[in-house]
Amino acid sequence: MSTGAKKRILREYAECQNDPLPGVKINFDEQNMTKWEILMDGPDQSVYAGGHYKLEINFPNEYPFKPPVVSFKTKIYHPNVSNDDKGSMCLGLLRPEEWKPPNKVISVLHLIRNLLIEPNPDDAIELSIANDYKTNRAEFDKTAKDWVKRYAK
Amino acid sequence: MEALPDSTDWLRTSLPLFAPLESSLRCEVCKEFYSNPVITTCSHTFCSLCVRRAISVDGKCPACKAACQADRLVPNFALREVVGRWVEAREAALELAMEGVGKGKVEGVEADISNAGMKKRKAGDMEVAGESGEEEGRRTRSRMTRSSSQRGKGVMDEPFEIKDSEDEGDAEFMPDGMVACPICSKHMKEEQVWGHLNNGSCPGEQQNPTGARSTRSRSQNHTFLAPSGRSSREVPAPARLPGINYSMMKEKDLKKKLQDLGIPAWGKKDLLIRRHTEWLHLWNSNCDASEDNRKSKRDLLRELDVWERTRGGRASATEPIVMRKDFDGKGHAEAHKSQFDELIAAARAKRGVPKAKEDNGDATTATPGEEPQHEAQQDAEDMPQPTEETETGVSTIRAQVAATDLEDAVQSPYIPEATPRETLVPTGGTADSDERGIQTPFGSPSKKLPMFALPEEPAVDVEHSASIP
Ligand SMILES: [Zn+2]
Ligand SMILES: [Zn+2]
Ligand SMILES: [Zn+2]
Repeated sequence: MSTGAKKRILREYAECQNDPLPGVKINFDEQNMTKWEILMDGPDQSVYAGGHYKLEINFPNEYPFKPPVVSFKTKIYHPNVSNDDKGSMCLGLLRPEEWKPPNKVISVLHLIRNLLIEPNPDDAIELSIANDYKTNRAEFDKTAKDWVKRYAK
Repeated sequence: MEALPDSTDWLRTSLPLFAPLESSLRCEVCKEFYSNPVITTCSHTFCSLCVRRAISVDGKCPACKAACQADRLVPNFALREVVGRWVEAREAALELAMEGVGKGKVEGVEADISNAGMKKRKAGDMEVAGESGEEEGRRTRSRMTRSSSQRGKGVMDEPFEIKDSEDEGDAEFMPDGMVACPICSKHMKEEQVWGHLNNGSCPGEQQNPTGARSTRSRSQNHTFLAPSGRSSREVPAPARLPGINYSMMKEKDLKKKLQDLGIPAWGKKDLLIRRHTEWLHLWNSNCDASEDNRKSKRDLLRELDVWERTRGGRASATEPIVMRKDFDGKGHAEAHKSQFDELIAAARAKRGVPKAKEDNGDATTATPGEEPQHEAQQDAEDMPQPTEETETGVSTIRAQVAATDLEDAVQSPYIPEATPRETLVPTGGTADSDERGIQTPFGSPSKKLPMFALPEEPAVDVEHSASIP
C-alpha cells in the first residue's frame, strides 16, 4: 500500500473520530491500519437493538481505487449479510463496480448502520432471509431478535 | 504540531465559510490539497498521480466513472496556482480568523485559560485538546488558542531573524519554535511541518550534504520574486512518456525498454509491466508539476524504489509494519514512518469519544460524506495531555531528524551513490538560487530575511529562457 493511501486512511480515521456515529466504536490498530475493527450497537429503532456487533473493515492494497471490504464477525440475521463464516456485506457503494475513490469510510459506516435500521431486500445476498423480510415480517423480526439474543449479546 | 490540517479547521473560526472553500481545494481521491492538478476529459480535476493511478486500475474517472485516458489529461495551471497560494497563506489566515473569533464573538473567558501559556507555539486545535472538559468543544479551544497567541508566542506575533550563518552553521541550532522537516531538513515552524509534508512543498529527501541552505523549498521561490519574472523563467516540462501496449511486447524487449529508461529491469514480465506503469505515473505526474516543484529523476527513482519495496518486487507478502517506533535504518521508505507516528497522534488527539449523542444524533446520521457541522464533544480523559505533547513535540521531531539523517547514510539498493543529481529541467533554474529564510506566508518587510535577496545567477535563466523558442 502506498504512503498516500495510508495517509488517507489515517485522515479518514480522524474524520470518523471527529464525527462519531452513535453506538459505533472503531478499534484502530496502528500496527495494522488497513484492518479496522468496528463495534456497532444494534440501532435502538431496529430489530437488532440490544445486540453488539463486531465488524471488520479491510482496506485493499489498491485503496482508495478499490472499495474497502466489510464483514460481520458477529452472526446476524440480515438479508444483506452473508449467512456464513465470512459475514460479508457487499452492496451499494461497496460494490467494486459502484465504488468511487472519493467515497469515504464514514459513508460506509453510515451505510452499514442504515442497513441495520432498514435492510435492503431487493439487493440481498441471502435471498431466503430477504423473502422472509418481505413476505413474513413478523417471522423475520422474531428470528432476527432471537439471533440477537443467541449471538450478539 | 498542527498535524492533519483539515478544512474543518475553519469551522471554529470567524470564517466558517472557508471550510467548504478549502474543501474545494482538496483532491477527492487523496483528500490532500491538490498536488499537480490535472483536468480529465469529463472536466473533473484530481492530483495528477491520483488520477493516473485510478485510470490504470479501471480506466475511469474517479468522480463520474466516465472513460478516461491518461494521455488526455492536461494540467490545471490556475488551480495549481490557487492551491499553492492558499497553502502559503493558510496558516496565517487561520490564525487571524481565530483571533477574529476571540475579539468578536466570545461571550466569556474560560477559567483554565491560564494554562494556555504552556502551550506556546501552537496554532490549530491540537495544543489544547484535552484541556477543556466543557461541552463547548471547539469554540473553547479557539479562545484558548487566541489567548496563547496573545501572549506573544503566536505565529504572527513573534518576529524573528535568521541570519545566513545560522542556516549553515551548527545544524543543531534552531531558533525558538523552529524544527527541521524530517524529510528535507528545511527549517520551519513546528506547526508548519505537516502542511509542508502534505501539500507537496516538501522537495523530498535532499542529497546535498551541506544541508539546510540548499534545501529551501523550491516552491517558495515565486512567493518572493515578482510574479512577472516567473513566466520568463518557466522551463518547458519534460516530455511525458507514452503508454505501452504490453501484450504486444516480449519480455526481452520490455526489459530493454526499462533499461533505456534507466529504471531497474529485473523480474518477470508481470513485474516489469507493473514497474513500468508506476514509472509512467511518477514521471508523467511530475511533468504536470510546476517548474518549482518538479522533482529530479533521482527523486523519482527513489520514489520508484519505495514502490518496489512496498508494492513491487521487493514487497514482502505481508504488509511491512509501518508504525514501529524505532527506526530500522533500511532507507528512504522508513523515513516516512515518522509521518505516521505524528499522524496517528493527531488522529487520536482529534477524536471525540464515540458515545451516543442524543442532542445531535440527527446531524451525525443525516448526510454521509459532508463536513461535520456540529461541535464535537470532547472527553478530557481520552486526550493526551497538552503540556506533555507540547514539550515532547520538538524533541520528537529532532529525534526523527536525527534518525532520518542516519538513514541517509544507507543508500537504497537501486540508486548508485555516484548518480549525479540529474534534473529533469535544465539546471541554473530555481534550485540553485533559492536562498531564503523562513516560510512566512504574509512575510513582512520588517523581517530581515535573506529571502528577499535576488538570485545570484539570474543570468543563467535569462540565457536559458532566451534559447527556448
Ligand atoms: Zn490527490
Ligand atoms: Zn469525471
Ligand atoms: Zn520537507
